[in-house]
Amino acid sequence: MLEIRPILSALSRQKSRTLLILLQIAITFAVVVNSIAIVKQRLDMMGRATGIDEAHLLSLNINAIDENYNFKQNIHADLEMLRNTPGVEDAVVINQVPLSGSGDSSSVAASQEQFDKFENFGAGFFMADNHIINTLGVKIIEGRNFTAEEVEYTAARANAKVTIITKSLADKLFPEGDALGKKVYLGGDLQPTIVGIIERQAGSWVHHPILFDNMLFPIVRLNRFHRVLIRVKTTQDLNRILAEVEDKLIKRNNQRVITSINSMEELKASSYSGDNAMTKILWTVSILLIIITALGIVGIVSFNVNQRTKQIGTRRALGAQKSDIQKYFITENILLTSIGLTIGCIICIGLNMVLVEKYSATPIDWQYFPIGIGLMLTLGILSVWWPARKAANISPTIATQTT
Amino acid sequence: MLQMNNIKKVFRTDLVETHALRDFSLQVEEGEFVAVTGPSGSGKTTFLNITGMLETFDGGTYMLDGQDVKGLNDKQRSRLRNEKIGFIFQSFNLIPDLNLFDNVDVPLRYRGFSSKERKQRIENALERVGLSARLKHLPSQLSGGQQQRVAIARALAGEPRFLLADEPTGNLDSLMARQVMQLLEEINQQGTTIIMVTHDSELARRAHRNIHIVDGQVSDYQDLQPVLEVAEA
Amino acid sequence: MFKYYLMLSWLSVKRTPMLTALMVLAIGLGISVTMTVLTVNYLMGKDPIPEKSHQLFHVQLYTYGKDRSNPRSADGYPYQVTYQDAMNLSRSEIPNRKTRSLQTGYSVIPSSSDSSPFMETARAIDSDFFAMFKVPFIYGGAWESSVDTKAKQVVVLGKEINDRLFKGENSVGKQVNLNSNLYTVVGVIDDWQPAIHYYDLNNNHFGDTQQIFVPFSLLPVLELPSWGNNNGWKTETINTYQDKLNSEQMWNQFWVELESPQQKEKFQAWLEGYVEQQKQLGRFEHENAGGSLKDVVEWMDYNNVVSDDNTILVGLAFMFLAVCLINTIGLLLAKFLRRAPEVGVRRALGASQGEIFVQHLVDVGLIGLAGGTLGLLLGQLGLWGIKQLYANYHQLVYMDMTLVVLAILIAIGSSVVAGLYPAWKICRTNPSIYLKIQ
Repeated sequence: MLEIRPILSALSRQKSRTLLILLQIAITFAVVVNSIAIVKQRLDMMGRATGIDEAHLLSLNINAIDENYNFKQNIHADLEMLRNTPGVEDAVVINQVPLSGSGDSSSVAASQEQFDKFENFGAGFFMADNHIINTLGVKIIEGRNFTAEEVEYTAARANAKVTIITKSLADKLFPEGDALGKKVYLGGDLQPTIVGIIERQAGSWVHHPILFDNMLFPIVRLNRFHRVLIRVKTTQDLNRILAEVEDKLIKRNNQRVITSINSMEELKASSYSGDNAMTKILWTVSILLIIITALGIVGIVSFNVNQRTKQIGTRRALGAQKSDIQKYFITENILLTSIGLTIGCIICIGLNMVLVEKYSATPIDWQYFPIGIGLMLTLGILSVWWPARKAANISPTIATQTT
Repeated sequence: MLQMNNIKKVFRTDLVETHALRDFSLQVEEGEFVAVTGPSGSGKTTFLNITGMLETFDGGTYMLDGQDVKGLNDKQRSRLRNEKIGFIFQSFNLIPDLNLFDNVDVPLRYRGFSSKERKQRIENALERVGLSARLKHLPSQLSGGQQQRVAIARALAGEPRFLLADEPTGNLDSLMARQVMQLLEEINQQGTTIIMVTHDSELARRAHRNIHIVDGQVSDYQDLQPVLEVAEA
Repeated sequence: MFKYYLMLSWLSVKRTPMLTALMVLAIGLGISVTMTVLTVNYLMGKDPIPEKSHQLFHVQLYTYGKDRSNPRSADGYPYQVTYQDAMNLSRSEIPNRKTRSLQTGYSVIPSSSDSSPFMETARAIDSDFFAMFKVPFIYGGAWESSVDTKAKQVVVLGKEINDRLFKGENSVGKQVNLNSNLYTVVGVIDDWQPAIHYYDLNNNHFGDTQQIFVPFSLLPVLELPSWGNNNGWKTETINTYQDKLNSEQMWNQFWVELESPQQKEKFQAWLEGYVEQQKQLGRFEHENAGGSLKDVVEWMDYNNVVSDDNTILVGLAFMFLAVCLINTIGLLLAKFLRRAPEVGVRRALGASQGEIFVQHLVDVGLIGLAGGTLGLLLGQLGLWGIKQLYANYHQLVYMDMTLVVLAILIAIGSSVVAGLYPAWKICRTNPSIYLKIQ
């Protein structure tokens, strides 16, 4: 027995209150659904597979002080010491650390002609020795790693003959899938041949579209300032190495300063800190909004029950059962929520269009609508449950009382 | 004192037009005790609301104590009501959160008396109705008859020229009703003009004059029914 | 009468404590969320140097070759300039003050052997920098302007590093070892922490400012490395530092101070002349080649200092506030209408509509006051939360007078907006219908 018509006419007689509830439900729905969509998008982004062994990597910077610092010799000695440290899987001196937010990139094209016509792609530009594959923990799916002989040590710009690139970059440069063995062009005489293809490897800038388009070169730059990337075997090793690596390096040679000793997890968290904050703020706002709306519904319905005490008592006296009364209020709420949600869907889509247009958000997946609608209906029913029960418990004798 | 000429009041909804009062004329002299009777829906309440300036009217003239009510704005009407009229209701309409003192205080607040004067008047008014010992009680702690006496005290505290009583004994048992009626008569004897709406013919007979409203007009035959007897108190 | 209304409000709070609490909570939450988000947004976008933000101009040059542009900037201009342009621009006599600028860094080697060397970012600039950006000095001052052309190893230290190296004493004349080179201290600046590093938006917008300032003229002498962005568009072989200085790589910044619009016009014309002259030399091949001056406010806007996320949050926060207010309006209507019979009685006893309206406004005002206070308190909690979430916002997140006033205005405004309609509605109800039956 759905009493939709009498409910509708009752609602239409208290227009302003009905309108207020409708608006409240509609805006709450629009904000919550959009927030959840943004949160989901950010969580997906943060959760993307990076292809590297994130959990077991750490990095640090070395800045040499000594005027007569022998770069090549020191780098060799450092790496040898690190690679032989128990718990260390591998280590490299590298120009940029993945996910760190700073590094080098370059333009690359599949032919000189394309390069000259600017038909090229951006790509992360990684330089390290042949241990880089093992240190990053990336997987070569085609071709081979660099050989030790291919590695160049230089203070100047090196002229690499070979490169290893990520599959995502290979697919852009050579859509036919025949990248291996081809030359790529980076301007001037830098025209290395692709000797290997990596399945997946994240670069340095997590918000940049070229995050997964990267090139590796067998070059070690001999700079006063250089970065070291270390891969350890277990998480216990990670904490131990993080704690002792500075002392070890300084003990070997104290003519330098070691800074920015960070685990990959820390670098990643720092790169995503804005997104992380955004998700937390949006969660908080959404939950508060839901609480406010729920309490609002409880307040208004309780008031309505109080106002209609006599009417409800009369209904009871005329034979309505407790469950009928409760059903009346719940039906009324479902009806209100449904109308509110219909308006809400429109506001929600409008809001999303603005976000997409102006703030490069992604359009909301249609799945969020049924989820949001389900959530709001459940919320509405839960909020109305208690006042509706109070209404159901009104005694029929009220009807016969005069005051 | 009070003069209504050809008062008209129409209620309109989308479907119907109801003439609550049509060509309603009435004159009440100072010191009179007038009872207004009539069947339900005859326009008694509308008459009372217009008399008390709670509602406006659509046509005719209404002079209260020499002042033309028509054309007064809400503020002026409220002021006039506060000064000249005391209301007594069937269901007492005491404010449940306020104690007796504060209930009687309500009209005096809007008059803008000093706190000293208000205190004096409240105590006098409550004494007049015999409830001066219960200043701090809440209405819910009193019987119906006592509540109505507080309401009367509230109506009197501002020393209005008129009392408008709407079924003042309707919610009371007969003993209490008689006591309230007696109180009203006393007040009337002290000079306050009273207009009382009732459908209790016995009560009506105790008034100086009876006005019978039918279909929004003063029914003629009320003049043919002189007050034959005064019921024993 | 006001006291009487206060008393009545208090009675009505006592009668409906839950409903009142709910309204206070709704207003409080709405205000706190809005204020938290607005605070961050406002402080980010706030003019950091209002007294001269329209006199300081960041100079951009469209040095790109044909068909090249900066895909990230609104007008396609590169954010930075080349070293050669920075050098040439500093030859103009038109600006009152000017500075070249670069973020670099050092290993600082303390003189006492018990403290170990540490790294610090530094800024290579011209002597005008300090006066242009109103950097306060504790000891000494900027180096002489002659140093800007004839390099000398001098340094201005920040308070923090001066505390660390010299225990806060006047270190002017003393020497500091940076990368194994000795620099003479000429000045120590006070704690200078603009919320936004508006003088260099290429790097982190927020966070601590640099502690070491050295002459830009040292670049070619000591081959100071860039610790900021280096953007190239041209295929060039850069093997030595000298190659980099001669290249089209953009890694320097240039600021000028121009006091009047006439002066700005003059400098703009000079810039166009410079571009023409460079064209003769085979540079500036792009059809858009030219120079652009952006003042501090324009420069911050151009660099999207207030991020999209912040703008989205402001929008959502206002929608949140709207829901809270709608909620409050609904609850107030309920509360007031429950009181309608009493209002009827008061009207019958001589209260005018105006008096009833004011009585209910006082009621709303009290709730607004409580909600606003709660909102300010919760807002502090919200700001604390923001600080936890964004590590580099600690300079940024505080409430200044403008914000406190704004918060109070929002609180009052919100409760008035929420309360006006219910108060108006209740004072307009026909009293007579409530007098019959209670």
